[in-house]
Amino acid sequence: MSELQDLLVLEHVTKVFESREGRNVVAVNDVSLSIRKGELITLLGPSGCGKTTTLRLIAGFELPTRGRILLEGQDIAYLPPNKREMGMVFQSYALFPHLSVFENIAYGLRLRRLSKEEIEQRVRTFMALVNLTGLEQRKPAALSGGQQQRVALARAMAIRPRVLLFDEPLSNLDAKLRVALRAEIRQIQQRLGITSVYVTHDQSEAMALSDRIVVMNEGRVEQVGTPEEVYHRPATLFVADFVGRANFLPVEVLQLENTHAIVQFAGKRLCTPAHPDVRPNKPAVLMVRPEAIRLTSHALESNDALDGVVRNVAFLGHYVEYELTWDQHVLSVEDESLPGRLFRQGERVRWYFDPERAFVLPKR
Amino acid sequence: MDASLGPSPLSRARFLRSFTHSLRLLLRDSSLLIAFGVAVAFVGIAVLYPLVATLSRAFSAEGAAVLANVLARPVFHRIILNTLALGLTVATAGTLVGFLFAWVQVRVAAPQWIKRFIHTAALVPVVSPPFAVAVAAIVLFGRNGLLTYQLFGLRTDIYGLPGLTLVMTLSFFTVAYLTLRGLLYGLDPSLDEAAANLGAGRWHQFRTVTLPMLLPGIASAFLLLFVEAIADLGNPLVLGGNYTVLATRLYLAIIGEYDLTAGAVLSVLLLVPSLALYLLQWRLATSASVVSITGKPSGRGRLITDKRATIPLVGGALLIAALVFLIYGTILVGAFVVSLGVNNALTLRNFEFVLVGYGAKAIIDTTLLSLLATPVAALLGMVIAFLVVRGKFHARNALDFGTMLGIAVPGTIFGIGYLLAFNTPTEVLGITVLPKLTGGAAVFGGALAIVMVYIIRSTPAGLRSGVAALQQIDPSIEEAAVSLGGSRPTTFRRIVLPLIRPAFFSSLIYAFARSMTTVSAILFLTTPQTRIMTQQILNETDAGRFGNAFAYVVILIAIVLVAIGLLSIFVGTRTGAEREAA
Repeated sequence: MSELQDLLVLEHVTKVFESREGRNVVAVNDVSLSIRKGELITLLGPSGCGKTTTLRLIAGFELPTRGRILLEGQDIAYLPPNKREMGMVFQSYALFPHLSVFENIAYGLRLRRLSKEEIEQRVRTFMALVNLTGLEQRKPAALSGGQQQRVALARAMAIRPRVLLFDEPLSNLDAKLRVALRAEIRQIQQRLGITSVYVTHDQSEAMALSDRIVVMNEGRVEQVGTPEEVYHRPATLFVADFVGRANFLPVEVLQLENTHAIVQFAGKRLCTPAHPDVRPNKPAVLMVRPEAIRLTSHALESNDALDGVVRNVAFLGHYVEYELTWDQHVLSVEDESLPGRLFRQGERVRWYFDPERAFVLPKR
Repeated sequence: MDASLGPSPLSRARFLRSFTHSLRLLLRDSSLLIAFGVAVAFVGIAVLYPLVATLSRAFSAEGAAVLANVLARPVFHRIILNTLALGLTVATAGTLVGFLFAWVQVRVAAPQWIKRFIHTAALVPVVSPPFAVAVAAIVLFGRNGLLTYQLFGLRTDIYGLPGLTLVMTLSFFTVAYLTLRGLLYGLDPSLDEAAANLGAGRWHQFRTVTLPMLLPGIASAFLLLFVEAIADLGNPLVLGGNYTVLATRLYLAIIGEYDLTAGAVLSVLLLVPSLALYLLQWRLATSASVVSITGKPSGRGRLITDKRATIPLVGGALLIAALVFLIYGTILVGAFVVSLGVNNALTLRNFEFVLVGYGAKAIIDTTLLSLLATPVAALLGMVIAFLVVRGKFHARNALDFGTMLGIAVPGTIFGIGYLLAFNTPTEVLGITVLPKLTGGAAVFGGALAIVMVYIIRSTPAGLRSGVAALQQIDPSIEEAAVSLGGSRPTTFRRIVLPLIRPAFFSSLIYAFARSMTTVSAILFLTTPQTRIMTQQILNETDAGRFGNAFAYVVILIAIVLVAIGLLSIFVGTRTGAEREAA
């Protein structure tokens, strides 16, 4: 990727906080990232992984202990947040409760001393964009959660920010609204081509929204990749485990063939896609996603299938979730939901998977 | 960071990096730095410097001799014991009355007018000078008292501990009432419901659930009253008689003997218990507020309706409330008669005396200086609250504590501290930073020192209400304003201040009422050029001209009430945040 396309660059950024007891806590540990013009990149990770701190470093609410933050090649690490031209959408909406919807959106424009007509016009444009036309004079308290977050979005976009920052903006909304609003955010972001950094701990949100996902853990970047890469080709065991659900099965790596490895699994030889760091005779695990596993009735003979016993069943409508016990292991399986086909607890079944849908990862 | 590791090149590099880091941080937020500098400078000059001056005088060689003398003489043991006894009785009685009022208000089924009546009775003392009650008490219950002698023929002696306990309880119980009422409202009624559900009766619930939950709050109110009682000067001066306490002895040392060293030594004796108890109270109050936040309040719970409980409770509260109104009624009537109890003829002479000559100047001076101090104190309280709540530097706790010293330290001590610190021009490195503020030939006739005292006495209340208000505001609201391009000062003015408007408003009212009614801190600071109403009231009382004193009190209360009314018109209701909630 050429330098020109990278709008925002983090170089070896580290942030150390001092805890109340006086100990140093490394919240962000040597993070380097490049964010391209017009893309939406998501910082994904469990709570405490440093994703919000990274976002706040970009916004300027925190100062890096070490490292540089470059916006269009200029170091902004010490530029105050009000000089950065970055819009931010907060988890708690952070609307000004004493100002009307119109005045909330106009706030940043008035600070920029735009003419009255221009403010009026721009507020109307962005209110229309987020489907809020007609609510100009309402106070935030008189809006629903979804409407409040639309106001916050319009307010952040109205200043035409160089980068738009999202701090878990949907996590206070109910599930249905969350899905609807994330689609809307994605549409608007693509239409306007706003470079965006989005923090979330919700992996489906990250998948649905992002051009690229940055998976973080304990202050470090575990992987940067497209949603597809992150899900099917995780860089580390942590990513495999955190993004989606995964079964980890014991394998022995025999030899490598291009992108694949020949492995020994349950007495059989399989050829499966492999992580580039996998080496023969080095410890490795086989990742198989629950939806890659197929079940058949125990009565049917099959050479490839293994025996298992249903330990738990949860019928979820569009699919059925099983827990199988197999050779000391407990496997998660997501099986198709077909009328008349439901395995019972304690029932013996056979299970198998397509080796192409599995992935070998080095242990540690 | 670990800058203290020693002078090895590596750690020096780390130290330099961390130093430049902090420097960049400060320079980046220069507005915060300026606000912090102003607050620290003010607290340093107006609060800490006089205290340090007092301490250093008390611990000088001369002071040590006085201290040894004081500690050796039985008369001073008596005075110290008297002080502690007064603190104990007033704190006990005041907490009990405050608890009774709060309990009736929150937990007892009673007609609304009764509740409003006792609530008003609890708030009246706030807007009057603290010793006004004492003067009225002499008229009502003294040797020639309207009630005791003229009605019942009793020759009672109101002077001394019992009388002081009565009037100081009635003057100070408001703080206990407000604290405990807030806690009772905050208590989750479902706790009582859970206890009842498990089989506990009313009394058992009270003893095993409510009381233990309130205990930190009760203790905190008790300590606050104790500190206020031992610090009070006005009441013991008027009603002490032979019952000398530290505050009155201190007053005598300064006014009677003009012995600043003895004053400083006595100040330290008074300062130690005051500060210790105040700190204890602070710790308790913080733990009390944690207790009261136990989930969302789910309704109001059942009120006590059992007549066997309500009649004595409501009856007791009504009786005390009636006593409060009787006392203030006495003041009002006393202002319009020649000499209440002796010559009850109606007259306007008292007001004539007050409103022309000396009195007029005192009224104007006091009001003017209070008006000057009020906005400064309230704004300073809000700014310091902002620094304390939102600041990221370690010094914020020190700033908080330093500001709170303004109210934790007895006013008399500030009076002496100001005399010691500002009787000569203040110089730093040979440059005069402050002119002579107190005594003869002081700048503005001592008015500047008085305004400073008004401010330091009022800022702590503003600080606390500002802190409480700011803690309710999501910090991301300010971050949103900043990320939209607003500077820190713009954000404070356009976002923060409107949101904490109710707190700002209440601290304006508090600052004005407090300044108008302050006694102990300013008695040593008034000069012939600057007259203060509370001192005039004291003088008139001393001279036995109770009618004039009452007229002053009536006018003072009227000014405070008018100011509160005007404030609520101009500040309270234009675009207050409380309207947004609707």
